Amino acid sequence: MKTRMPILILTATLLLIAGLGWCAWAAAQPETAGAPDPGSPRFVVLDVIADSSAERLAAYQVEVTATNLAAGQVRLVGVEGGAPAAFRSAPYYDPAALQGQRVIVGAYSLSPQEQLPQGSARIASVHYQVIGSARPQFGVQLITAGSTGGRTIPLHVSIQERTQP
Amino acid sequence: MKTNEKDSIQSAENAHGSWQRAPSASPAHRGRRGAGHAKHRDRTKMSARHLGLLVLLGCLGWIIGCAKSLDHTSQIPTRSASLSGSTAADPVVEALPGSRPSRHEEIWIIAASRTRSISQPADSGLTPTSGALCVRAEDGLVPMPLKQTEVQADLAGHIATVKLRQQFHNPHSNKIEAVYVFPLPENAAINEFVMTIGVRQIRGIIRERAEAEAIYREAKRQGYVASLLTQERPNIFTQSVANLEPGQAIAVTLRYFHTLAYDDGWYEFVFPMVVGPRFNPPGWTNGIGAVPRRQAGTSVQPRDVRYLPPNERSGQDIGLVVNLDAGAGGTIEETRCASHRTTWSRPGPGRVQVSLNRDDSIPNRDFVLRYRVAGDQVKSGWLTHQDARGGYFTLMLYPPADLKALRRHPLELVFVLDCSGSMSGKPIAQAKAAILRALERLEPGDSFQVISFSERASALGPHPLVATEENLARGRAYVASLSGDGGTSMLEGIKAALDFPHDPNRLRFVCFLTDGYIGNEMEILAAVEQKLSAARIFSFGVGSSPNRYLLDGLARLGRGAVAYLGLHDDASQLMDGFVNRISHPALTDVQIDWGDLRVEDVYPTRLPDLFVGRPIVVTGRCSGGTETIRVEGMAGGTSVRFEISTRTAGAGASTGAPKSTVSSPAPNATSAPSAAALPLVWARMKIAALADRLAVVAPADQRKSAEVTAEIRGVALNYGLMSAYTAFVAVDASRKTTGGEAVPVPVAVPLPEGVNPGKTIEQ
Repeated sequence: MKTRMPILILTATLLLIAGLGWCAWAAAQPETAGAPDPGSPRFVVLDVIADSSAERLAAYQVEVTATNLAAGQVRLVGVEGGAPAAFRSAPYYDPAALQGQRVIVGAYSLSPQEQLPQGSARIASVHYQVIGSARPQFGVQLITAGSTGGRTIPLHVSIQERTQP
Repeated sequence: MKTNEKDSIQSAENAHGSWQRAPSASPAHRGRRGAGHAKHRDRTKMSARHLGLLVLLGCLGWIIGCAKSLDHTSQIPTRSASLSGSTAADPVVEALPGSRPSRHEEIWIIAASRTRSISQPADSGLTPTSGALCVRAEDGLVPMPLKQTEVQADLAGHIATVKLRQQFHNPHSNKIEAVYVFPLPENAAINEFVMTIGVRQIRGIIRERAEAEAIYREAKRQGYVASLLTQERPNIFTQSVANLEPGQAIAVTLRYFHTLAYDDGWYEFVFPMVVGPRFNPPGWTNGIGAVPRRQAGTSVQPRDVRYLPPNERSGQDIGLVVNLDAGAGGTIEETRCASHRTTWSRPGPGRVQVSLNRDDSIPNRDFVLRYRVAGDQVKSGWLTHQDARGGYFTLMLYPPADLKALRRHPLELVFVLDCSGSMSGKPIAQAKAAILRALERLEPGDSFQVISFSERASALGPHPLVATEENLARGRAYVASLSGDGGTSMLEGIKAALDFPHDPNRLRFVCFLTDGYIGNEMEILAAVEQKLSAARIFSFGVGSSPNRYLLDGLARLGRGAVAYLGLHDDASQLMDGFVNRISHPALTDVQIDWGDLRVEDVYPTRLPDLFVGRPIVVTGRCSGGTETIRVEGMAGGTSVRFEISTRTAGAGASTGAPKSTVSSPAPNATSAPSAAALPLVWARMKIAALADRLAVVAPADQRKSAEVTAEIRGVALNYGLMSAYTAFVAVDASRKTTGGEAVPVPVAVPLPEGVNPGKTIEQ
């Protein structure tokens, strides 16, 4: 008994120190209430940027696709209007095109010519929920774009994933 | 003794010194050694105690450390994840025992309301009730997350386009989730949902309901601002807005279409403002609960409406503007609004704008506007629309005018009066006045019966009575004796009204007079479908905010018609209109010959009888073209035929750009722009027809029910419409809110005007 006593005391002391230390570490962690686990759904925003060069943009239709994920892993959860006042209203989307991994988004503006965007501008943002840990690869394709008179105009579109603060 | 004392001292010294192995004791020292052993045992005991304490502390520290770190290191199944079939916004969801709350959710243990406790009033300033904050201001105004509702309705022809904007805000110091249960017209085709945060507008997405709810729950859990719209009944919806930060304002805008009722030259537009308190029969758990605002816990129903007591008002304000358009060359002859104080103006030829007065903006009754368009020559109208999905049409089918020349058969009128608690006071007084008026209008060959129901049904007699003076006096006395109290076991009323042999010499009309405040509508509609036989049901919605889904459904399935009797309406006038209508034979067994027009998916699937002055709207999909549609039916025992000229060369035949055509010589013809809503009106009517079928087949045939459910879901998703199986969800994924989990705050609403709180709200 006497020979084991110091070992037991030492073990108990170590246990105590380790437990209290762990306790202190856990308490010091920041409150991350609601933070998603790596495998749980997460939310992302894609900004759709359009460059109409010298033309005034009055209407557009684009297709945004997630190319590398299986069906159901990327879900559209909102379509937001753009930065220019002429395209601030929420764009429309095609419900029938939601079945696959693509979203068709379009908008038009009846604003006066001088208020229509020219050059590069964020014309829409697309909000997604992503399931799983894989990082989706998004692509965008122009379907059509037009000026006030209904004339088809060239438009360069690109997308940019927004970093969350 | 001295030795012992010395030993004692030595032992004490040893005890205070280092631990030494005791020297082996000689027998001579046995006595001393014995004493020394005693001391050593004491020492060992003390050391073991210390050791035990240390081990205990160590283990305790270890356990605390493990427990503390659990939230960070392992995934705890969230409550929401463990709840399939429950709505995210439901306070009950927050209170489910057995679902393991994470560390920051411990506050919700208070809402152990899953116990179905609906007692324990709790109102003391800031009080969590069933997981909700309730605040009461001293002036009786209760700050609610719903600040304002703005309605703009554009009426053209027989189609209304309505934009509804709900402005939510957070008057509390905590982050909240606003939950608002509100009514809309039962035939509203909701196809637009936009969430506005500041100047940012995010369009909501239509999804399968379970999927939308899961997205919303996850967004809410992670701290994103999100909104969700779900359907509880075709005329009751729940709007949830998650993670409203203190002081923040968020608006949700809905847009919907619906057809307008038309009766004897008058169009009727209705905007319901409040959900009446529903009665759910014992054992029924799929209804809508009615609980006081200040009460802890919930009802046993999946969704509750919380009501303000009579001495409280919410700060909610409502604005409503209706734009009437009579079309090219048309004139709005007259407008009437008996429900509210309004002002009106004429912004242009053929146009009238009606606005709700700001001093009459308590949302406690339906807004009902009736208007008449000039020109009394009302004829059937034909309207088509063509888009990429194909052709659609509506046919406004009026009965031929010569029906008025025919006399009717003797009648058998069965009055079924709802005598439940919600009808007590003015509603039942109105209903009784209507019955008394109808009794006055009976002719000698007619017969009548009066059935009353609340918890049980009772009748004037075992059989209908012939309308003699003596019997009529009995009937009047019986009606006068009735009062409102107790629950609403409408099934008993249905059985009593339809479960007796039909008199072949008389046309049986069953007249239901009720506010329709029940939660088991599907059960009632199924019973009507099964028991109708040769009878026709005319439903009369009584009160300031009746359940129009039930009342319209009773009339639709009962092949009759519906009328509404507000608290300020003239009951005699309403009943005269009804008696006049049934005093002429209806056109029954109506058949339509579409000619060479290829028509499919026509709704209603079973055409109702055509009564004088009351058209029906038929909608469907079409292709091909025709000049003339032929309608045939029976009236007063003779065959009646009439034709409708479509005069639409190539109507619905072309493809490509959307194209609408209108055909009707009447000045109140539907204008072409509203025809763009036809696909949505058609889809909504198809969903309603499928829901009726679901009510009849479920739960007897589960496979069939699943097929019908899938069909409803498919139609709703293809046309982007709300239904019982689809929902709108919008998430602002650009920013996470700070703070803990949002506290659910149900928007409490006033009771409908004239409804007795003591007899309707669960206590």
